[in-house]
Amino acid sequence: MMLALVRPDSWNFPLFLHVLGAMVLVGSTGAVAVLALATRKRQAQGELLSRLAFRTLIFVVVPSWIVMRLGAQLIVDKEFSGKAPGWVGVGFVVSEPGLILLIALGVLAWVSARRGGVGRASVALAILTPVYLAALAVAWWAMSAKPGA
Amino acid sequence: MDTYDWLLFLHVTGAFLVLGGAVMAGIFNFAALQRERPSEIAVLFRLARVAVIAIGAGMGMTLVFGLWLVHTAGYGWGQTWIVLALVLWVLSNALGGIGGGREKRTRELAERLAAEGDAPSQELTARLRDPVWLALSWGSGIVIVAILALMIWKPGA
Repeated sequence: MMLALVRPDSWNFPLFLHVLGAMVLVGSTGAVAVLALATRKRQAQGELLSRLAFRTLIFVVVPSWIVMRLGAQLIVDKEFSGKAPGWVGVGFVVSEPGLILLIALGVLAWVSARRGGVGRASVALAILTPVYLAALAVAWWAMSAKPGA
Repeated sequence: MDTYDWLLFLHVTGAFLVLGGAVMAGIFNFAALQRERPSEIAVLFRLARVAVIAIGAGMGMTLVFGLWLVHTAGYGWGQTWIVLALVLWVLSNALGGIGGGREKRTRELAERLAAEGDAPSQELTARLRDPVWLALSWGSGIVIVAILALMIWKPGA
């Protein structure tokens, strides 16, 4: 509890980068999920919505993942130069395999946008994006509640 | 996990909903600015309502669990970062509330124009690019980021 009070000043900026990146990542992934689901429901605007989902992934989700991950590495190097505790491991488990899922989402969003929001790629995008969002929620639970700390 | 851990998790969840919702709203609003057809603008503003719900729920959670955390952790109520965060929370709500009202009227105009032939309209474009609305919406987002910075640096703690 008192760790927050005694955190050295030099940890603040990397932590800010990490948290801001994570929040933008969650918001932009949420936007992709909403767009992917709306693409299925509103076929008339499928082309616009699927194109916006792909652009959001490329121009917001991926950069925010990089900022989040960079901030995480900086703060882990400062705070845990030796062995990181289990709750930090949860973050790595979500972020690293999550990158593979993110790449898969990018490919699906690209195919969906090329096909005007129709086809199996758009269905898969509408299913997998909320799954990735749920994985991010597990990470923010571990990072904030710090189970086992 | 003790009470403090749960309160922190719920407070942070609220912050994720607020900032995540603001990012989502920003994406839909920015996309709407690039469009001319009223039906396309209307659908983007309708999707932005998901973000508005997330922001509303998150604002409530950050305040309730934030105040509870201050009490539980034993921070002083007069500490600079707590007072500033509360002032900025009110400011962000006020800016977002006024901006949200203008956004609702723009969505209603877009829906009406879409039903009346879906032709591009100068009035709709002017509303979308209204500098007051843009300043309110983006200003509210900047204030939220400032609150996040206060939570990290905790000046006066």
